[in-house]
Amino acid sequence: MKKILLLLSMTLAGCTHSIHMSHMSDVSANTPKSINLNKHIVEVTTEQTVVLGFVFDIDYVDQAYQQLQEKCPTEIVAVNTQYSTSHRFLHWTNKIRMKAVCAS
Amino acid sequence: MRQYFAIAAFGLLTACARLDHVQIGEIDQSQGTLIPFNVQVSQFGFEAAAAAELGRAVSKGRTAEQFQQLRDILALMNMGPRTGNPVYDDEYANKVMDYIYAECPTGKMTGLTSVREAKAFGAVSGEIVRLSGYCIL
Repeated sequence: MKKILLLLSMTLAGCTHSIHMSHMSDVSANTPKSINLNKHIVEVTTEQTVVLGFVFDIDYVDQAYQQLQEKCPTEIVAVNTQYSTSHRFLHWTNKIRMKAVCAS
Repeated sequence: MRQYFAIAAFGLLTACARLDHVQIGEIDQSQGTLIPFNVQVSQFGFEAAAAAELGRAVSKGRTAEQFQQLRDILALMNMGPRTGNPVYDDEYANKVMDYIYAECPTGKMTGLTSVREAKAFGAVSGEIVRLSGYCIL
């Protein structure tokens, strides 16, 4: 029974996630048409590891913002920001993903 | 048997919609004809620890103890903040931008509303990310 319990818990506990927010910003008139979209998309992801409530990186959102600006030095439009958490054993990882259209 | 039937009936009767987050952007009605669009992606959400707790509540003796152990292990292995029930794929909302551009090929949009919501049935749920707005023609 203990083996079943262990197997069941390992199966059910495999890497769960939670998306807290997915927000789309305003889209300016300079946004390219969808036919050209793929070559204009820029995407960055930054993470923050938290072990038993102890936080090790508090500027991961700023890092994502800076990386996005570095990837697209001109106009950034249609920013899709997602804030999520990946759950792990005694720790978790907060993630910020920013996907946007570089209008240059 | 009656106990399980009561739990199933309770679960079905308490099913409800849950809103976690909503945000609306600028609305510009001066640029042309506005055509509404709506894009929605969802993923199966399951709180395994809550299901184990339910099992513990309806069982007795040794089985209840085992459910309690399972609940505790699951809680330790899936630690972290939650919005609704956890999902097993965190990439289900990655393509929302592609989908809204498919709905609005001109790329001119206004009144974008971002919604994070769910259809919840206790330990299971449909976790939803929805974007709606208007395409300017």
